[in-house]
Amino acid sequence: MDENTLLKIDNLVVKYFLRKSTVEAVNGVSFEIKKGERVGLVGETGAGKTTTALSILDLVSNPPGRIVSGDIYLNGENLRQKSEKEMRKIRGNDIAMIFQDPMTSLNPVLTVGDQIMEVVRLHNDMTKFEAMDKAKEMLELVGIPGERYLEYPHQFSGGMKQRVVIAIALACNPKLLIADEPTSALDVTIQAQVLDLINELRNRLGMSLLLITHDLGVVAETCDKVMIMYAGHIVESGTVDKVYRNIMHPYTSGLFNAIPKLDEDTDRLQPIKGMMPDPSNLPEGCAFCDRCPNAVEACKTRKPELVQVEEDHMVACFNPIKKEA
Amino acid sequence: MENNYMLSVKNLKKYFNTPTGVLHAVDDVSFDIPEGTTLGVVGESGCGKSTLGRTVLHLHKKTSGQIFFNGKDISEINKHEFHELRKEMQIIFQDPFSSIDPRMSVRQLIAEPLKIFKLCKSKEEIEKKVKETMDTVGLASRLADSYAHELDGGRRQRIGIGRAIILDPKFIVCDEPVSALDVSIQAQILNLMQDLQAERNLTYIFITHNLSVVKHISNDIMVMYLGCAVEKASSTELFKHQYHPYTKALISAIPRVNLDDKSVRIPIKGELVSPIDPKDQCRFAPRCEYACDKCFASAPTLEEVEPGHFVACHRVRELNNL
Amino acid sequence: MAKNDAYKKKEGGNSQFKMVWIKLRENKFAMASLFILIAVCLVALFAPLIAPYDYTKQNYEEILMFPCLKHPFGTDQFGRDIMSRIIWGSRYTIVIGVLTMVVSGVIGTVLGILAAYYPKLDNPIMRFLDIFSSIPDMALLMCLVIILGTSMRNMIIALGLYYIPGYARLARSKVLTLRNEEYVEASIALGASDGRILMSHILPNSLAPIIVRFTMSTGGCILEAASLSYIGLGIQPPEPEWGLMISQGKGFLSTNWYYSIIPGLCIVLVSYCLNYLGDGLRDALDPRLNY
Repeated sequence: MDENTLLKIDNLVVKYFLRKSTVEAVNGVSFEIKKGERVGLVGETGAGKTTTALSILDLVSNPPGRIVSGDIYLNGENLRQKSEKEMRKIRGNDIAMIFQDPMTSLNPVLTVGDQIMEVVRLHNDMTKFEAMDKAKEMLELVGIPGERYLEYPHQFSGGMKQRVVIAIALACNPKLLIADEPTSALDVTIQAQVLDLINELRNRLGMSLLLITHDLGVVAETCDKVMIMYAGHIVESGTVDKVYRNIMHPYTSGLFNAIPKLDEDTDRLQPIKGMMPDPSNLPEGCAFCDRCPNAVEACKTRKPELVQVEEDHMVACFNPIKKEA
Repeated sequence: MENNYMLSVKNLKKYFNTPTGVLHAVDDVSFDIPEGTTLGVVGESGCGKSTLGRTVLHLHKKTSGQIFFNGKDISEINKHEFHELRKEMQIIFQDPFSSIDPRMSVRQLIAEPLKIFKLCKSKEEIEKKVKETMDTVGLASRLADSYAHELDGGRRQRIGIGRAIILDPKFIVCDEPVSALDVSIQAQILNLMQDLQAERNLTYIFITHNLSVVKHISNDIMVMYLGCAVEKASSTELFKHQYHPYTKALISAIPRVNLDDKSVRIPIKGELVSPIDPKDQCRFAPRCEYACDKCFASAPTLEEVEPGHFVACHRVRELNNL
Repeated sequence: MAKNDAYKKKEGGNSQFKMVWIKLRENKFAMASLFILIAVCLVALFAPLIAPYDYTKQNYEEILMFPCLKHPFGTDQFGRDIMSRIIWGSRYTIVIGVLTMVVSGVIGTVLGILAAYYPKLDNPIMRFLDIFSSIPDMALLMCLVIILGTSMRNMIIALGLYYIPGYARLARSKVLTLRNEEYVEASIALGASDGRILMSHILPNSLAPIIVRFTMSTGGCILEAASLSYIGLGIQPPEPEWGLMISQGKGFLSTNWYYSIIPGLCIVLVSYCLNYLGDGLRDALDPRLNY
């Protein structure tokens, strides 16, 4: 494996085994994240992005979910072969995750300082005072005055809570930060602040970033690479530049067309007709077939694989969109 | 007086009494909406846009001000008279998960307004109207017996819209109707709302924090900050020229999808605070990089700086070379 | 086209009520308890047909007999067949348990809903009910029964009064959250009257915890009734109430243990089943409806 590769996911399959049906949440997802790289994972509800992220840290609720097959390599080591004890050493330490809703991510009965100290002392041999210093340092790092480490979460606004969450996540200087829709619950000006903060910290600390979002604009401004997910598959991936300038998968194109743009005046939006298929009842063939304007015969019976179409750009489609000459 | 304005609001105020002081949720807001058009109300948390929508519909009792609906002054009318008006003024909520009673089927939900106003004489009539409405909003008739937890966000929102339009209202307050939906479903719902507006000559107040959406669907836009209107203009005009520092910052904060858009982000420092017992000053002053002494001394009012373009800022002319 | 076309998810018609039933059905213990309880109700209903002997008939030639083929549960010191007395006694158990719960449940829920929906009524109602909660259970029950007199009707009244505050508090707390739900606001916006909102929206959505409490409290109620009878303040002899039978048999525990133990086991069985059913209902009503 390439020395530069931090995380490698190989053919990950995750299913949720429910009472009467099985939800195929992630169906053979493979990708890599290099050291220091910022990767965006884009998709709508039910695409499987959160499940993918949770699988990396083995946090998928079991029951009813289970990683059925696939491998996850962190710096060459296969995480799937690690015991729960070993995974605990990795969580918060080598890989940290932040979630969407800052209101529920913080424990309301502990001070923010305590919550940062908790993660620091879990992974480092530190005295209480050293941990307290570290907590103050982290708060300053995310733009909160250090003295506020004695305050409780309810004394902070939404944006500041998310900063605290980021402080907790970065306290042990992880190599990879997974951020699951970190700004969706925030106002747009606060979102801008938090995204700038994540960018700045990433530059400073040199960690990789896996940013999960449904917002194509956020990805454009924050990520180097992007992966578009649909019904548990990655349908298009590559550098932001290549993908955004040369959209090839009909779903990606549909997403771009569906959003109202600031710089254009459209009379009617172009939604993607239909809906995402029921993940417990996925069709044979390409999952996007029924909704796809480019569908051909092959799409109904065979599933397309990710193939390289140009440098830094892969698409899983039998009839991708061709760029106008 | 109000010729063909469907809704006219003058100096509307809504204050809430809290243990820590008086919350000025909506402070002296005025606007007129011509029939068949959409007024977009934009702002972030705490700006009062949701409270404004609900106060207009008498879901909150206003503190002062006047509301004219279709020429008629409805500010002081009693509960009974307003009950009849509810047929003409409706609301669509943001969260399609919490705005629907989980124990009612689609049919029951859409039929509820008919039952409340006793508009139909027979079960068949109700059934017919419900089916018609479901068709109009794009819900398959086989879903009539489904329950909320069996449907996705987009379909639930269609139920919300169906419930709002079945009484054939003239005016609808849309409180962030697409914010909780996926992008591709958002587009479907927005198109539906536009179609309904065109067919039925509906007037909308469209409340949202999403500027791209509001640009697309509104004729006029009003930007609110901490209870006050800071800028008001037609949709096209506002996105061509923004004059209030907050509006400028708001628009620049939107993440750009277009890679070639190299516009620089205007940062706003600080946090949004709650407008409790505000002093007589510009509410945006603490966060504004252009704030001067005057801004902290008195609250600015909306002035027409260009035809149809109103801004509440002491320094608007000098900052924008007007 | 789709892979699992054969298994088609039923679209529409799965109300929450039905989903609860489906989930409950899968809980073996709860279903077993339900069947046992239904069986007990049937026994109570058909007592005159099922009981082999007249429960008052005394037979001094057959006193204190151990369980045998003729008297499967043995006889008491008056020669009365204990099995017949148990069968007839089930009527008291069921009637007292169910009736008390229904009465206190309805009154308590209504009071709780009113207290929560109309804040002006909140304090008057809840503080009044606090009077009843502030007195320890047996003391309250004993006082009420002594004042009212010992009879089944008065027992039900006393027990009812005791359980009302619990239901009221439960209903009130649920309604306080529901009152702020957006769909209630939506109904107000549609012009619904208070009455309609309470009946169509608030009540159906508050029933879940009340139903669970209903099943679990019935068990407690039966025990309280038995306790009252045991100390002589409940059903009076010669009626065959189970608690009373335990009391009557306590003098014979070392020699004829079945006399007290069998009615005791019956009480335990019914209480157990009610608790299991309540537990099952609570799990089934859990909003994780997908699993």
